[in-house]
Amino acid sequence: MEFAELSTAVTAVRAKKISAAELAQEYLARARERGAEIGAFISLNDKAVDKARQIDHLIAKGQDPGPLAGACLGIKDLLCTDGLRTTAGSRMLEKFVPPYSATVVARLESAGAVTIGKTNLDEFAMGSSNEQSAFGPCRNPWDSTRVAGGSSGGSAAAVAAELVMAAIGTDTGGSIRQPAAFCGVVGVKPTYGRVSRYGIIAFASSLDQAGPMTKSVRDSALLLEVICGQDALDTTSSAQNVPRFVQQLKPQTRGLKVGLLKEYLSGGVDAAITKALERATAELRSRGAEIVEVSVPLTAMAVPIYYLVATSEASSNLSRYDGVRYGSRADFAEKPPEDLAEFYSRSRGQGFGPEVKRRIMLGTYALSSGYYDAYFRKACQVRRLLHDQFVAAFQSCDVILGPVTPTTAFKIGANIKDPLQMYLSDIFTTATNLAGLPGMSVPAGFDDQGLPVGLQVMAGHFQEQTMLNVGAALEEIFGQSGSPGRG
Amino acid sequence: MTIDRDTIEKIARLARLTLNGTEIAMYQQQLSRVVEAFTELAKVKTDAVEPMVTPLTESGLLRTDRVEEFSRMDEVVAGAPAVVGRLFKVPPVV
Amino acid sequence: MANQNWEAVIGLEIHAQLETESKIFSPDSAHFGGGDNEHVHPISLGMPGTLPIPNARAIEIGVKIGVALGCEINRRSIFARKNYFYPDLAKGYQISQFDEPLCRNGELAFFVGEQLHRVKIVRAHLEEDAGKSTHLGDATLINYNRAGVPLLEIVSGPDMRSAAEAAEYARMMRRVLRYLGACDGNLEEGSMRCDCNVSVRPRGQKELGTKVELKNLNSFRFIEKAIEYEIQRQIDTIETGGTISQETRLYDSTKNRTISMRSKEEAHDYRYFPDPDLLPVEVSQQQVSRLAGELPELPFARQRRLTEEYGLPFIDAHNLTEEIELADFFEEVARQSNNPRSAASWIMVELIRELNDSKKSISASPVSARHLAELVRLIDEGSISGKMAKTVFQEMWSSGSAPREIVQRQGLVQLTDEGAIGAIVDKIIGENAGQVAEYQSGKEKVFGFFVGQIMKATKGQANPEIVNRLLRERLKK
Repeated sequence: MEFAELSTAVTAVRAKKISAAELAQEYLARARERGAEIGAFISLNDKAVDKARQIDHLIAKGQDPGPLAGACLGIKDLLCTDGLRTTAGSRMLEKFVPPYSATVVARLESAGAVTIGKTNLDEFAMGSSNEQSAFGPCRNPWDSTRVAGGSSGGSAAAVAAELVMAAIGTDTGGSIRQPAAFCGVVGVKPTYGRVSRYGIIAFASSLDQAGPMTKSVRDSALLLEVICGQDALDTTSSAQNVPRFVQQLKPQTRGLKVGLLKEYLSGGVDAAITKALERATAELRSRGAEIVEVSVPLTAMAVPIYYLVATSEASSNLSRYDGVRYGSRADFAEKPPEDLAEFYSRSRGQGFGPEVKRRIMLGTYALSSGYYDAYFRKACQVRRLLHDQFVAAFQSCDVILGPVTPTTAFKIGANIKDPLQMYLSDIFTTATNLAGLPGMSVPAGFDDQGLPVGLQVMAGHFQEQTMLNVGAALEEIFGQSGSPGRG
Repeated sequence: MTIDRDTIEKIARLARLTLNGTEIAMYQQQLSRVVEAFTELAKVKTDAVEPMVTPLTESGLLRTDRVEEFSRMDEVVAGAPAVVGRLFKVPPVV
Repeated sequence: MANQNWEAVIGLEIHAQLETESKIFSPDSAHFGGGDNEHVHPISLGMPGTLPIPNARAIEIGVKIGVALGCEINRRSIFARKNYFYPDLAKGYQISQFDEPLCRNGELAFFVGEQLHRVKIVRAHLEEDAGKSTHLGDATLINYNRAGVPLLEIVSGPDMRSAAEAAEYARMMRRVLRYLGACDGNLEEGSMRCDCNVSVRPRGQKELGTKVELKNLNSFRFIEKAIEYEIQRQIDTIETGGTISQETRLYDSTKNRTISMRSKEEAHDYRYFPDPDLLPVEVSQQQVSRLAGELPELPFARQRRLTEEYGLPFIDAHNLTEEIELADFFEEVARQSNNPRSAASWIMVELIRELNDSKKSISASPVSARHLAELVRLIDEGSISGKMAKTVFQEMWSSGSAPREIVQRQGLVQLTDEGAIGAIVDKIIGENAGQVAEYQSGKEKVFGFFVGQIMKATKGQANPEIVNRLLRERLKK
């Protein structure tokens, strides 16, 4: 019962070669055992097998069970799941059970997918290592002393370790692509507006996008077809037509202009990553692609812009966690609050972890009277310039190829004491979110310590198909990274 | 550029976060470093640049004015930290 | 204020609850009332992951009000977040508009006495209402039924100089909003709320004094009284060497005074910024033109027209344009009866009294415009006397019947036959020789006695003018 890809498993279920219930049982068992070792999950779905039986039932009756029939998925615990605890990796929402599902979850489930569990993440998606989860870190399945990356670390690790067939992550500044690179899986952040944000606990509203994390590019294409498209519950979801990504998926790069971003080639990147990039460039050229150098000078400003915009929005988005309507409230039995301000401050001071508090502080500062123009407004202005430079760059190329991260997965604890260092590691991923562009991480072999290397493909707005096709070409070049222990 | 302790305390009050002394010192040091590193933004010329609020350029969809009540309020009330009947309860505020 | 040395400066912020079915960003009911937290939705509760979707109707009503107030309509207005913590504010921020409001630069014209005033509308912006806190001794309870109800905040310039002017401004605003069907204007239920900014300065001084915001004004009378009190309080404070502090004060109507809201002296820092969950509100020129074309004749213009077209006194035209339905009713009666002044008088004296007594609106009046016009015609034709008409009107009010029918049923037709009346006059004169002698010797008071006897004999149906004329003629002989 081994399936390298979600696509093949779904085909087998639809052809009645295997039952969805059996698959759900198997994956649930893996998630329970191996998942606990690496800390991939926060909650498991005890209704998964029942849901799978319904799929089998539909198939038995000859009805269409949907394009994801029996697909066993991990859902980042930032997406609300009706009746299934949704914590955002925070003590604040430790007991929160939403009476609604995120649109992404609803679409996946109505396409026949089965939610196996809710995957671990940095609290409120704020982090690049999954060490900021209130439920403990998620370890990298290739080396358990190392981080899985973040914030969608649990999703990446669960896919890499084959505890689920695929997973959903969210990406605000690299939170899908960076852990995908660290764990050797495919991770796609769609164009801003492609995927509904309804029911996804907001970190930074103008940057957040959900996307697939899978073993193969084809699996990502398949999931994207289901989750993309306008949603009446999200006014910032785009009306753009959603292509048939799977049908049009082809690893062809002949005649394609592949851009190399000058600013991303100036060093400070692990040798293994540089080597993978060079190999990819050479192979793509030999397959008929034209390699061009492009420049987006303001990428140098991406991290500051990102941390000002994201934390400002977050400081406001997280104001609703006040212990009044849902979530945790501090225990006031012994020492009642003197006033309303104390009532809020103690609940929030206790409910949020250190990184979340740090970012709320930074964002509150950037928006506050006297600093707004110099920080928030300035960041939004430079953001527009950065956006415009990217749009110009995509006039002379179809995709941009580059690194995802400066390094492969680092040791647990290595960056935790130095937030600035941690923030700077988002250097290659934040720009796409700021500009609203699609970006993906594709596995590109391993470094000499056996740690996965990822490469990033970025494309113009709503050009996911071109991006996926280049991703498929890279997949042919490097092969899938497989699973730790199986090779 | 350093952020002084008073500012950190003021921001914490504004953000409604109780911080202990260690946290205040830590955030003061860390945020000062972050803000210091971010001052390079000031070098970018942005005269007359319209701030970018969202990457979307479309006009957003609107809702038709139709009532659709939420039927599962009981679950929300059951999950709330403190209620009296169906009302949410907080310490006395005047 | 009647003070030679001081001048008051007043501006109003009116929050009008827009007449939509559902809330501004969520589909729960926007109607007043309902059980505890009955009209709530995960969106209006600000639950994790939920997102606001603007209600197209709320935007349209906002534009309509803006057009009616002669505002410029912003083609791309922006929703912004106003960040602060309060239990009735579910998200920790209120979605409002800040830099780019929906409407700007309008004007409201109205009369104070017969004096025309024009007040500038600085801006009008859309926002969501908050929930409601009920303060008990040991706890505060929150009901979010009102959270997310659409509001338009209409901000006037600091253009007003007296309490009476401010109250008239508010009354005229209410009229406009009701004419548009945009807001029911109920101050008691809070569907229209007026906050007043009041300051005083020495006459002739250009700079404004420190302003105080007055809240909790749930009637027009209270607006006037609170401002009057506040102006005097500020003058007294300054004249006795004190200073005015910028604060919010609540009006206590039972004691007729304003009291300072205990405010923690932490300056507000709302950290407004554009809401990234919402895209700009786009209003096209076509939409504005369409709404402008659909506007009803507004109260101020209508009042003027009623004066000019029907020759009504100022006050009548003012009162008859209180509600669009009342003005419509009047014009219908005026047209059908061809006697506008009499129509106005019947409506304002008799009909409005009955409506007020029974707390009915004009649209629920049992007396229709057609019937009232018929009544006016019956009087003008001389078929019934004015006194009889009042009896008929009472019957119209209680039964809803047509006046002609009532007149016939009760045999109320006026006696106008001079021959018949003359015969009765002669008979009464013949029977009362003593009184005739008294009258003829100069005691004219006796005249009334004869009128009384004749009316009694005709059961009050004789036309009084004919009775008087014939009696006078025949007593002379």
